[in-house]
Amino acid sequence: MILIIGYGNSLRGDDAVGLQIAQAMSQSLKSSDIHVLIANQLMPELVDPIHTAALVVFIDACIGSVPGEVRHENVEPQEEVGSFTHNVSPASLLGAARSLYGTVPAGVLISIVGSQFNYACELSPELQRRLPNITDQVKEIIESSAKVQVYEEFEHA
Amino acid sequence: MAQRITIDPVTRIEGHAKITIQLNDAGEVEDAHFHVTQLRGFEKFCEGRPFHEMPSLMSRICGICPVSHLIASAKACDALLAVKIPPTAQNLRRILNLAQIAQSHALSFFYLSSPDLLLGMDADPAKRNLFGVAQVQPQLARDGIRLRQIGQQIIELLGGKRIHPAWVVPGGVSEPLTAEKREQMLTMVQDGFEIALRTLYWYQAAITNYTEEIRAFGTVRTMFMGLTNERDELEMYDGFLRLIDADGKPVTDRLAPENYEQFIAEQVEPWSYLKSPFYKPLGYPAGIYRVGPLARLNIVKSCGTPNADKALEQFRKLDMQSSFHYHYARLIEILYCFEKIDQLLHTPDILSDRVRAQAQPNTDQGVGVSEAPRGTLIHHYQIDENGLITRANLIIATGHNNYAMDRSVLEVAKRFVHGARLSEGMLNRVEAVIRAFDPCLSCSTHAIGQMPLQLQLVARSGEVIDEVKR
Repeated sequence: MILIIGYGNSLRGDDAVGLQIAQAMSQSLKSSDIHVLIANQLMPELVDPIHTAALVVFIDACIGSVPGEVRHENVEPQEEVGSFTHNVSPASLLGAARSLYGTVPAGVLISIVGSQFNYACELSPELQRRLPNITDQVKEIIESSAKVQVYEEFEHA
Repeated sequence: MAQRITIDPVTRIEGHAKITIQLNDAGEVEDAHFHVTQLRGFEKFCEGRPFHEMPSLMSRICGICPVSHLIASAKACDALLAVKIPPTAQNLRRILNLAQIAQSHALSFFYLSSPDLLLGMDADPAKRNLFGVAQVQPQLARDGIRLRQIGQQIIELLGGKRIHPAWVVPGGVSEPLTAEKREQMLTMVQDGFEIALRTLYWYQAAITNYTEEIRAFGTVRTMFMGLTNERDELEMYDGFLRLIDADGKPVTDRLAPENYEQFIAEQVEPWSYLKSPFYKPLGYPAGIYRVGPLARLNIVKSCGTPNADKALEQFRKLDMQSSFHYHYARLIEILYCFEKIDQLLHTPDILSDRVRAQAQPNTDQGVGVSEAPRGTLIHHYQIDENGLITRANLIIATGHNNYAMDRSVLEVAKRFVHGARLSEGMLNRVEAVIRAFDPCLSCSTHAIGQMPLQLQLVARSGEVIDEVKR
């Protein structure tokens, strides 16, 4: 099973870019073995669906100097000793899957650089303009990580 | 030379607080305080808003227990409309509230407190977290995660989303329950019930390990307050207020919650932004009481569900005053929540589509009272002729326990803190008494990663005599 988790705060402008992309692309999934979760933030309870996945893709926003830049990195499980209540990292969720269930899914974190994170229900004009291109890059990273076609061909809105 | 110890911030609680401990010249604890160092201001900034916005607005007080504020706020709005909401809507709200209590209690017990309970107060702080629990007892850690998930999923099924659902509205709820969702919930409830029972059995067997803490956490004697109903059962949604004294004898009964201002006043202390409510007839501080799981189980005759009642029989054999037993009470309430949800899902009209009473404001004041995970929650609104809020008064569950927490810190510090040498276990026990109450102090500012904790023993000259950091 491939699990895609898009997360961010939909009231804080570009912070929502990860969840918006995951949500939009969830309409074009190729297989029923691919699941998409949308969340405000990563919570410990996510370890339950994560531990049954072969690959977990986290899609988040980040800060940086080039708005719209798409970064990705592999996530290694880590048993972080910090707070495990309100907010957890992708690495600690994979670490929890290993500690609690003995499973270690592969993990990829895709981060999209935002330009404004103030109170706003919409993405910044800059990110909105670049959204088709960002979406294509995210799709490519996911399919490259999964080594299978995850999405049907889709047209940008 | 007198010295002061500061624990700032207190860890593994909801919100931000610090503890100060004052030592006398002999190095023994002279005084201690629990300081809540944050200010929210919801009472003030909702003034001028339309009353019907209150449930959504007030639920933003908290990210852990938004449902509690949603329900108390909606009840206050029902009172403004002067309507009796449809029975199905009331039962659906009850289910939502019970799911919320179960998941919040699970967070408190499994995530925040189980590391102390399982690994011990003196365990390596690097291990005192859910990962440490997983290494020793993975099933317990898995159960904690699953219980939280079940509570949240029920909230999501009913309210549309896990945090800040907008489904509870003035006059009832916005949508009826579907048969499909009911079936999904029934399956989850059974799972939750089994986990709750398994955890309760584990705790009952382990409780002899905490004898010293039970004694030390039990020296502050207070009254208890909570909601109950005509059958003297545990009541989380409605009913009347009851107070009992430290020996379990009734102080007053059948208090109408909407008249709370007649019998509850709030004291302001200079060391905290959190006010200390007290029972007016006895004055302050004699009128101090505790609320929450321990209080609720102490004031009722029964829970009203079979397995929770069996557990309550065992619970009754313990020292009802010890705040350490908040943990035990929390587990019994989780069990109760799943049993009660199951009962409510089997009520004949639970799928009825009559779930909302429509009306305009018919009075200028409304009070809504319900039981939140941490205790009795009061929302009180006044509106003008246009339905705009002119005054809001909130007494949050944690507030009721403020003075008891403050005094408990002093008693536990006296028991465990001695002299100029500090230890991790010493520090952790002082925090643990606060953790037993499961206070929810801010509900909006959350720590990311490990909270820095610094405890310093400082001489009046400013010299740091000893220091513990994590």
